[in-house]
Amino acid sequence: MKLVWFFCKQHFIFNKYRFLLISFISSLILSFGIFFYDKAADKAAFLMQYSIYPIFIILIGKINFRNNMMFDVKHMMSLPMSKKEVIWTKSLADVLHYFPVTFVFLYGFYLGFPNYNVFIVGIILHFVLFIANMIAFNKRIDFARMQHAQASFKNSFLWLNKTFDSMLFIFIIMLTSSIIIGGFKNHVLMQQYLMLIFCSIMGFIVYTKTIKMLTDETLSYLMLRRDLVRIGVKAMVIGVPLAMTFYSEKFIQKKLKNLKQVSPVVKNLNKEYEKISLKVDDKRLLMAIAQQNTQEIETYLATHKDLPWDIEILGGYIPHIAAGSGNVMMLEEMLKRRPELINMKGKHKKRTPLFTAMANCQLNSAQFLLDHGAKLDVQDIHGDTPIIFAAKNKCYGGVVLLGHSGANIEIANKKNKTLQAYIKGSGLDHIINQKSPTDKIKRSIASEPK
Amino acid sequence: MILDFQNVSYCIPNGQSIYENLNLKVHHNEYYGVLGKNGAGKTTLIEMIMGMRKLKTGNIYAFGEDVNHTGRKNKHKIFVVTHDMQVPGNIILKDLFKFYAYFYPQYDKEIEAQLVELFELDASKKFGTLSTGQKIKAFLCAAFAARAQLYLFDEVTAVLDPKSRYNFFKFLNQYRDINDCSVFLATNIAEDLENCMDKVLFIDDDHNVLVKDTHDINKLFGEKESA
Repeated sequence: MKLVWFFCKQHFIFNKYRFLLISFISSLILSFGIFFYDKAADKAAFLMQYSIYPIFIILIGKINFRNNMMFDVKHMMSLPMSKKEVIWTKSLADVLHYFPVTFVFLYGFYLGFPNYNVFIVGIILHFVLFIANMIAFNKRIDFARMQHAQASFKNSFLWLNKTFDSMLFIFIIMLTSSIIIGGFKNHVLMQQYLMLIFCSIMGFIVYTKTIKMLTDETLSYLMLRRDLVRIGVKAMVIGVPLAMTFYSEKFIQKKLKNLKQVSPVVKNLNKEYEKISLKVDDKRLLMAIAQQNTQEIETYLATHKDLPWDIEILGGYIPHIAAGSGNVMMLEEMLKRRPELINMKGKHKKRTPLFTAMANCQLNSAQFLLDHGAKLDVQDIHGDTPIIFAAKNKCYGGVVLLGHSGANIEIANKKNKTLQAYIKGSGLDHIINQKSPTDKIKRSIASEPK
Repeated sequence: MILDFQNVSYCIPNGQSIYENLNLKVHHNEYYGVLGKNGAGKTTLIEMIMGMRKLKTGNIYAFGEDVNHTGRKNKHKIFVVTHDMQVPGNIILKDLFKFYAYFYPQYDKEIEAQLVELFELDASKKFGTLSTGQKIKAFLCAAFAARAQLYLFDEVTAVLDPKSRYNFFKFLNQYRDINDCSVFLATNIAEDLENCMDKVLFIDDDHNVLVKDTHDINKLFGEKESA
């Protein structure tokens, strides 16, 4: 521990200007985040996003350069330290460099995810950086040695071997992290402890590999038989699951296509997600609403105080998505929390959730909205009422429903056309004139494929 | 016993054998010069002692410890100076000396000051501003001040100017009286070894290691020429 402290101190003395520069950049990020954003979520997104860049740049620098921060590998080995101490002290002291940026990142994390214990997250983050530094050190051992053998064509196979190594490593990290985070959605503390255990295991593996690298220089040169076997095994470990995933994905997609069509709301959301930036949690919530994934919505509600009613996507808000995808459960939730949003107007076209229900011919949600006070004759920016909009979208079930609910069919839009103009030839004229709809007619029309 | 090579065989990664069944014992206060043509394996030998090379067979023991062991405890008795060691350029020399002083319990500030003066160094300068020779001189100051028991020098004299080379060997000879230590000096300059080394390890074209007296250096080359 004394040695680590000494190394940290020396690290600071040797690299004080670099440390000051990183501190300056971090304080800039912090002040920008604090002064330019009001909402905690926006601040968090900004701080986390921009503090990760310096971390990334420092790490890449450590991997690529031979002598950028501390002594080179040969000098480290010449010092009176055991190989174990060389690896531990070097990697731990290197983590010191990140402190200003990790502080900003953790502050952002604290604002964005208040239900996580920021202290444990900090330990995990520094643990991860420690491991990344060990990997960087490992690569530098390689780099120093391979300089002498760069011209050798055979060494490109070694490069392939090491690339496979890195891919496997990333693959394992991603897989395990998603299992931990996805598998323990509601158990935040459990997630954190499991991540700590996972980091410890990864740390041990990386440490063992680095010790091997220091001890055995043949690992930086191609040993034909040994390395070809290793490359073969790794290629199989990576290639076979990749190929299987690719083909199974294709197979599943084909099956799905045959089984059912994806909801247009989900499709549109998917497209829109590529263009906009939203918090992951919010994206998942919107998709869950569109897909009527009750479990996902409940998870969100368990971990958040309220729903993000102000998130605008596709010109609408959460009530619009819920109405458009027929998610009555979500509409009920809306009524409980914010009943005034039943007639919430969209951002651009000023359409209420009833319009969205008509656009997607979701009669259940339309009925629910009508039962709870949705306005029937509200007009969008084109002057269309929900009943005209239903007719335009050929949702004749919706036309019948709104007609019998008392919608004014005489209202004309900005093109000076009434409902009559849009249902001409559909045979609906007599139905909408009936006083009360029969369930039979309603169901038969609603079941028509759109 | 300071160094003990027991049946050491070493192959470079392409399979070429460099050392075979090398047995060598280095005792206290013995100064060894290592001679051999380029590519003979002088630097490799130093790196083997540093524990940076995987031996094919045999073991090397330094102060009774296997040099390839991961948890060595006697490394503070060894000081290594090689021509290709690098430290960050923005380190100030006195900070570098402080850094070394931490690791070597017997570090002697007086020797450091004496050598800084002898080599005409400015301790307040940054390492990056020094020439190649001055950098080696800085390492040598730290090395002798550390009062280690085994010194491994790899090609350190080639970059020194004539005056500094003279001072270095002069100091090395005097150093025997101050500090009871052994030296391994790998070099390409045979004349370096004549005046202060006790023995010479000569690595011939077939990678055989011959241990000879310093007086026999010329004979060694003569023998090779006549062969």
